[in-house]
Amino acid sequence: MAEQVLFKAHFVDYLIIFIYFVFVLGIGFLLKRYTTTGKDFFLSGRSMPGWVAGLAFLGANLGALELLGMAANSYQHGIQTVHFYWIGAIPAMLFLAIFMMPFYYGSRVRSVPEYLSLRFNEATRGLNAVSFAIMTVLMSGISLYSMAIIFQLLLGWNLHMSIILSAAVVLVYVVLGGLTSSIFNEVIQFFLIWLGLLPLPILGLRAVGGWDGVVNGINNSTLPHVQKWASGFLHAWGPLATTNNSMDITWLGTALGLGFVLSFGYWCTDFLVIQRAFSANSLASSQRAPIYASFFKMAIPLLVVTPGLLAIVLLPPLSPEANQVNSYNMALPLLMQKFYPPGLIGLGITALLAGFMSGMAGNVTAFTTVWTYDIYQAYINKKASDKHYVWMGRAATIGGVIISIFTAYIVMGFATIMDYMQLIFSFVNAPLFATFLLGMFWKRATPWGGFWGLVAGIGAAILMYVGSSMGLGVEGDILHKLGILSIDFKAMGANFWRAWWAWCACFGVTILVSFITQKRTDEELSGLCWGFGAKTVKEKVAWHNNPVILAIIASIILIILNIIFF
Amino acid sequence: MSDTHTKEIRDRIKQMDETHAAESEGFMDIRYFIGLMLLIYGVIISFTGLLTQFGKYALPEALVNDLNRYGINFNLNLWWGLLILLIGIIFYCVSRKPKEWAK
Repeated sequence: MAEQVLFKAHFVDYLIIFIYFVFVLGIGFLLKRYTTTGKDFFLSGRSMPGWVAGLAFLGANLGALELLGMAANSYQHGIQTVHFYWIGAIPAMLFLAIFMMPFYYGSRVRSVPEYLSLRFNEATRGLNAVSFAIMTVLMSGISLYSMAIIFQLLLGWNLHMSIILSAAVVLVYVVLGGLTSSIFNEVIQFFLIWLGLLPLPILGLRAVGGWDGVVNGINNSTLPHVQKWASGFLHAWGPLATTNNSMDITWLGTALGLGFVLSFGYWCTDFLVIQRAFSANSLASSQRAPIYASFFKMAIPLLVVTPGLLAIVLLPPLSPEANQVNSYNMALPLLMQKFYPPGLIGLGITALLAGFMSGMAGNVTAFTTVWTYDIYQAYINKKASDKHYVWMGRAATIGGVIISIFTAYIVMGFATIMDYMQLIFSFVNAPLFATFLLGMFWKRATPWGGFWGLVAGIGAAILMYVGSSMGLGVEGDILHKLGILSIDFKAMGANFWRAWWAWCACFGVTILVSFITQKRTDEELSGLCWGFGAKTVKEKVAWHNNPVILAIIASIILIILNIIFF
Repeated sequence: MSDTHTKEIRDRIKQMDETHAAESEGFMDIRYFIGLMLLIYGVIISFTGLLTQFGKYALPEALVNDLNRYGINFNLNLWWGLLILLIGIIFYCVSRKPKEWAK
């Protein structure tokens, strides 16, 4: 396997990669001088302009693994892949900006679990903080391992060298500069990804003779899976009228499961992305951050979905087997190999490398903050000095990286557990959005209502998953019809439905328990709940800085895009 | 579940917010690093393109065949490199330089 390598990198390619390393380390060392207090280390001094926070917000989400995976998804399912970028992201990002940031940023909390502690209670915070910390650090290990595998295929790099080198670089720059280092890298990664990948759709479309060439190529494709679903490959919603499509899911499942539960559960509650908005220099900037990000998020299908379709037309058949030089995941790199000269290859590789490293740095900084403020300060050492917490943050960074390396090696030994972990993470947090929705917009939601609702939601998600994998829920019975237990659903469709029912469990139990337990006083809810003095932006701003107007523009673009590719 | 709980957390947040050195506000301008980095990349990539243009650096044969087949007959490194260079110069020019950071 290691014999076959995709790229024969030239000196100029290595030079470009080398310069990237020099920059990220150099930025770390420069930032150290300015990173002295907890506010600097964990929140970038709350000093980032909206556009920096916005690009970091997107960069933290835009991992290299996602780019490769979504291009592969487009190769398998066609234009339906856009749902992950449009309906499955934009409404949630805009909702976060307009309706939730006033409570998050306005209450000055330092993390998402800290909001839960103020709005509900310590138990709710503890549950969320611990599960978030564990999942984040494990995800960081998974991405470390995936990076090593990909670079072995691309350049023949040794697995151990890739893991140790990239972990060491991330460790150094995060320890030195904290969140600011991480944010700067995400912004740099954003530029590298656009400049490194944009030539692919341009050259590819030129090679096949424009969009008509793509349509013809797909209609005449000899690939069995393309022939089977041919018309479905070129439309986003049309094929979803029935489950008779390659993703095996209807528009309703897509809208509820992906568009509502999974998407809102991720964008509106995942501290990994929200931490970037917390770094903004004002409430208005923190609201603009997700909106700026949404504009670019909508454009990313150009960089991944289009190449996925081009790969169907231009490349010899790819293999569904993972981790080979011709597997689905390699669609993007294979197109690079086809079109890019040395030099541009280096830039493309550096973009992927930056994607992996900043993804890991993002996980590590989010883990570090939650560990320090929501676990260490909350339960272990409540009254230490600011200096001590910064020290603890740096120590936690080292700890987080070491655990990531261990995780990477465990995953290397038992590759199948990676799939399970990713699947479980994708829906365990889905119910969390119900807790936030009720917490922010229903004053009657009580502390213990929040806690038991969350327990019920996570429990329901896990039970449904276990039930399905034990083979319960055969075709035709009621549980299968509702999508609760479904062994023969394809993983993705079933996942959407499970997320939806877990969300309902959390929503329902929170309301029920709220009616029989003690609520918080109005004074305690100040700044945390709708109708209790949420901070709003008072000063007059120009229309292009007004979050509401920007969000309306984003919504209109979203609707137009969906109509064009209906 | 009492006021003391809320107060305790709000005090912690306040402590962190106030222990902040005002002079490090707006300390670094990311545009400087983006500018410098893209400037260097632009120079390297367009220079590689120039070498190819003047026959000093031959592209792999398989790649040349592919590009010809698809009718892509412009010097990719040169033009894309110049675009990157241009973006780099713009960012570099609008940014605040390190010597101004101290202020």
